[in-house]
Order: sequence, then structure tokens, then C-alpha cells
Amino acid sequence: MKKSNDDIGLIARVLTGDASVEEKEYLLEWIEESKSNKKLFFEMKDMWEVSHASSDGRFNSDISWEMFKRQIDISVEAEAKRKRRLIFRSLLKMASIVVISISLSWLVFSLNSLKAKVSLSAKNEVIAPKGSKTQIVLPDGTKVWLNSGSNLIYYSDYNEQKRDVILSGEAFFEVVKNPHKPFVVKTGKINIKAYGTAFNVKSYPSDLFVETTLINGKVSIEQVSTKKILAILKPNQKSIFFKENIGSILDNILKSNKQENLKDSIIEINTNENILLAQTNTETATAWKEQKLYFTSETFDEIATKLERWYGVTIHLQSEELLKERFTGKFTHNEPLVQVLEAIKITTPISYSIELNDVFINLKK
Amino acid sequence: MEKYQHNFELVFKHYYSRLCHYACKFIDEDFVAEDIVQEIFSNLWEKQFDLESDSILKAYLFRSVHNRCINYINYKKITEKHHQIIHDMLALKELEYYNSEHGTAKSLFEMEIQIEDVISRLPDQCRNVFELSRQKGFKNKEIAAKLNISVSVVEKHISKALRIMHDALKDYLILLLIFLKIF
Repeated sequence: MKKSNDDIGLIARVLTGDASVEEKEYLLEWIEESKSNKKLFFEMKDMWEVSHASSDGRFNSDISWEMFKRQIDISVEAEAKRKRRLIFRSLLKMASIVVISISLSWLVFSLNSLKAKVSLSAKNEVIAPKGSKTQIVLPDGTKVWLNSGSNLIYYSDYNEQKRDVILSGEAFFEVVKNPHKPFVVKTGKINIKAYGTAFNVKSYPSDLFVETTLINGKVSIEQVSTKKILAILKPNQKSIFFKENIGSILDNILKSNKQENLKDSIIEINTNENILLAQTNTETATAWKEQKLYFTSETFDEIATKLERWYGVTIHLQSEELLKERFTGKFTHNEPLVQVLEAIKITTPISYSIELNDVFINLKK
Repeated sequence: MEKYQHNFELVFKHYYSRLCHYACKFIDEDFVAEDIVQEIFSNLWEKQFDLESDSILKAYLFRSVHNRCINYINYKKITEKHHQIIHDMLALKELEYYNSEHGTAKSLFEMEIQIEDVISRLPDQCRNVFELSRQKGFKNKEIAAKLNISVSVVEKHISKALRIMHDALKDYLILLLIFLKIF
């Protein structure tokens, strides 16, 4: 009788974390002594864990689902982007309509299934559709500007112990200072953490990188899977985290960085962690907030993406050679799309036509 | 495609937290457990795994977590210190146990309701101590200080609670084993 009391006492100590290494070693041997010993220990362990599992909010499936969905979104949006490069008009048109309607129905389905389930915290989603921008104020006073084609999610427990938001797209944050409650922007593979600062995050699902630009204060870039801090930004610095392997995309970035007056001076490139740190002109990254459209030696593929988001149209590039061309320009007076295309025409020989929400751009030979 | 995604979301949200808790039985680090579970779901999505049969799906999910935990622990063992290795060996033993016919992995969560009931019927002081330890996460020393009793009394109460719970659930555990063997 005494022996079995001691055994249960030992099991209890192991379960509560009060057992020494020697006690645990003893338990390992004790388990092997008989099947009933083994069974007893693991049954006790099960009960111990189950008695706790229901009451903690350790794993938030809602947030995890949002992150997971981003991964699915990436492949579908990337698919749509690839199709845009085809020269066949009608195929292009069909693809973009299908993508838009799938995105909309996913949103509807996810919102509906969330309502149907008993969820612990209410979800708030702010959407800036393509062609417009939105500004909101979070419960703690933090201001957020959302660029077109972006959305931001936060739950009703925002500002209780921490301030988490999930971003898809581009946003500028003016975070209210609170050293006790970190403000974290979740973008999938990396989190951007701040305590009281102003910074810009660009993380569209179809982009191959996440770009963070710091205006003032301090932010840290943390890798979700390893919880490792990849970079700490100082004001006027930006970091580019590459979602895939750094190699191919880095070339493109370095090429677009060639123009002297727009150059970012690269501080550090870490190929193991797929992250790049550079000194930058923050005006370029945050120009969109002031309704200024900037192109800094960007390829027509990137220009098309920007124009689609800015004006809410669908761009069809009808020439393979057009993709190689680059353009630099600033549009600061809320110019209509036609004016932008005319300005581009001055330096790059393009021809274009507009049909409702579709814009067709070709290179003049 | 839309219907599959909708069903997938429901499956994800239903199993996510439970699978993470199951992984955490063997692996200490929360984020590693979550990583494992997310990889499993990515796999599921890529294969467009049939979501219709609940029992097949459930078995597949728990088996996947089980296998990946074994891999992770074995991978970690290479670089670890003694005390951590002992801890890992206990985890491996437990994984073995769940692999054998005595395992009750899938039914753990059905036990939740019964456990709440048994805990509520524990003798007063015993229940106080158990709840502080398990559900509020206080260490034995802290509970002793809080309730003005000795640490050994605290430990005795916890052992007592475990014994009572085990006796009360014993029949249920046997029934579960039979139930599992049929299915």
C-alpha cells in the first residue's frame, strides 16, 4: 500500500514539474518494470493534460487559419499574375474575373462560417478594396492607413495583453506608445513588432517579399517558425524579407536600385535568413499615404500591379518586351489613369486603350 | 474548389487546437507544435485529401502528428544536454505507448466532460490545491505559501486528486479501449 502511494507521489511530482532529473530517470525505469506501471503513468498524464486543455487559449485556430489561408491565396494570386503575361485577351479577361469572384466568395464563406461557429473572440476585418484607400483607428488609438487591395484583421481581445493584427497588403501604422503591450503585425512567415512608432509594411499575397520601412522609433522583424529576430530597424531603414529563396528576386531588386537619386544603400544581406537591410528614403515607401503615386525604376510588371491596386482596374500587358522596360515617375496630384499613361508614353513608347475597367498596354515598335 | 476550401476551413478549425495540444504532450515548445500541425494541414491541402470520412481523417491527422513528433525529438536528441535527453526519452516512451494497442490518443478529448465532473466532486481542500496547480499553473511552493500549508501536504493533495480521478475514470478508460478496438 505504501509503495503504491509513493509511486503516485512520484508521478504527481513529474507531472507538476517538481521532479528532479534523478526522479525522472527513476520513473523511466519504473515504467519499464511492468505494463501496468506504464499504463498507470500515461493514464495519469492524460488526465492531467485533459483537465487543463479546455481552459487555456494557447492555440488560436482563428488566427492560424487566417495565416494558412494567406498561403492558399498566394498560389491563386500568383496564378492570376502569370496569366496576365499571356497575349491572349479573352483568356486573360476570364482569369481575372474568376480570381476576383473566388476571392470574394472565400471572404463570404469565411465570414459566414465564423458566424456559425461559437468563437471566443469577435473578428474585425477592415478592407480597402482595389482603387481606394482606408484609414482607421484601433481601440488603443493606433492609426492605420490601408492601401488599395489590402485588409487588416484584429480580434476583440486587441489591447488586452497584446496588440496583434494580421495584414494582407500594404499599411502604414502610427502606433500609440505602450511598452507593456507589444504591437505585432502578422504577415505569415514574419512578424513585425513595435512598441510605439511609425512604420510602413508592404505584404501583398502575390508579392514575393515583405517590405518594412521604419519612419521613427524601433521595430523588430521576427521569424514566426523559429521565433528568431532577423533584424532590428532604426529610423530611415527598411528591411525586405524574401518569402522564397533570396537569389532570383534579389537580382531584380538590385537592378531597380541602380538609379542614383533613388538608391537605397544596402547595409546587409543575409542569404541564410532571406532578409535584406537597407538605408532608405522613407518618403518613397509612404508616398501612397499622401495620395502620391511613385514609380522608382520599376518594371512594367510591377507598374501594372501598382496601377491595378491604385485605380481598381485590370491591366493587360500585350507585349513580352514591355515587361523588360522600366519607368520612374512621381504623380502627386491624384492624376487620373489616362494622365499617368500619357506621362509614361513620353519616355516609353507605349500605346494603350481603355475599355471600362480593362486597360490594354502595348509597346510601339 | 470553393466547397472544398469551405469544408477544409471547418476541419482546420475543429482539429487545430486539439492536434496542437496532442503534439505538446511530447514536445515542449508551442511554436514547434504549431509548425508541425500547420505543415500537416499544408500537406492535406496539397493532396486535396478527402474530408468526407471523419474517422479516416482523424486517424490520419493524429498519426501524422505522432510521426512528426518522433522525428523532431530524435532530431533534437543529437544536440542536447542530459536533463533534456531524459525528458525526451519520457516523451518517446509515451509516443511508443500511443503506438501500441493501449493508446487512447483519439479519445482523449471525449474525456474532457467526465474529468470536469470528477474534479468538481473532489474534497474541498484537495480540489483547491489541484485547481491552483493545474488550471492556474502555480508551482507547489507557491500553492503552499498561498494556502498556508506545507509543500508535502500540497503534494499529498495532488496525489490524492490523481488517485481519485484515476479510480473514477478507470471504468471509462476500459470502455474506451474496447470502443477503440472495435473501430
